Amino acid sequence: MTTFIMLTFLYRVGYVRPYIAHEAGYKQEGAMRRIVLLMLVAGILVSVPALGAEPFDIGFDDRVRPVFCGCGERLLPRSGGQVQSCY
Amino acid sequence: MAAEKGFYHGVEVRFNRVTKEDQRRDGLASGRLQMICETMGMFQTGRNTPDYAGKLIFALDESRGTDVVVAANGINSAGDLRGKTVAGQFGMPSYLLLIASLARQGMRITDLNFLDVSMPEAVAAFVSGKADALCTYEPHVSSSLMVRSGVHLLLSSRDFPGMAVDVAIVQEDVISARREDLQKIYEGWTMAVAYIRDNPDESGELIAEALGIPADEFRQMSTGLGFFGKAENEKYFGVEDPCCESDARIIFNLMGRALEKNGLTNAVSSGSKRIDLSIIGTVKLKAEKFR
Repeated sequence: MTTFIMLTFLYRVGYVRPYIAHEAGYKQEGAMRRIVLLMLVAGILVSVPALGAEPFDIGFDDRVRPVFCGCGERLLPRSGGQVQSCY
Repeated sequence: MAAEKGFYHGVEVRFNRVTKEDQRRDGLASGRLQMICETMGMFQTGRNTPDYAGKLIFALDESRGTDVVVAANGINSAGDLRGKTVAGQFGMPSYLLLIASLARQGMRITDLNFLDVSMPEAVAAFVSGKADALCTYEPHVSSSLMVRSGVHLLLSSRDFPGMAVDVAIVQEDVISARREDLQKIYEGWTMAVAYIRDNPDESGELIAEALGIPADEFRQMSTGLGFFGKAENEKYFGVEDPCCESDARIIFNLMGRALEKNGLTNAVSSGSKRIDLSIIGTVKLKAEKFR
């Protein structure tokens, strides 16, 4: 996604085109532009599914033998069977 | 374990410790949580309508001896608890164990004096002799057995297979909207269980680290815990033989009736409505090497 945004930005502000034209001449510019365009398309293909992916949140009762305070709060896991502190 | 090993096939699974039941239910209802994990009994407790939200889609693990009822000298069966004082915590698996045992004797929780207090208080009441029995779990079992003379194990979750089962619960709309993700998560879970069985040392250390406890402590705890892999899930939920009532449905219905009878819920839903087999039934393990 970052690559996609960066390439789009560079292309849009015209940073890539003049640089290519100056350094490599107009003939090479066409080829480089195609490469950049291909990278943009690849970026879109990679980014679109990633944009749609949602995290999956699971809430669980951490009943791995916890001990509860009177108020219902869980105590920290024990060490050697001893209760340590509340959180 | 599954997340660490990449078994979820790209699904970003986030784990949230939510110790209070009402907060888990609110999270599920609001859509903040796509899944909650808790015992089958807890899922049915304190309902006011049979049309509550959520369906069980697979089982995670079960208590095999970790949840128990210990009793003082002279109490040798659940029937002997009539008129006695039993300390424990309402709704916990050992409490449900007690109810199930009483039901076998034709008794209810009202036939005894149940002292519903925090676990440290319950242990203190039992050790001091104020209570005749204690519904508890490790590590209190070992300490309770040692401190008071004549104390013995009366009931164990090992004697009630399939009852103290932790299950994965989701909203109906998540099943339809994120079916593919759920299948990946279930598959990831079963692969992790297989991996744990094949690599107990490595996985024990990884899980202990995630829980923030020493590996030895986790190993000790896990002796009373049985994971539900693919085969166990298919057997428990009767996927291979859908014509008949599965263990999961039978136990779900029995537990619901027992909870209602004992005033722990006002409404009971049926297992056929609450159990959705579409995820277990369609998932085929791709990674055969982890079986």
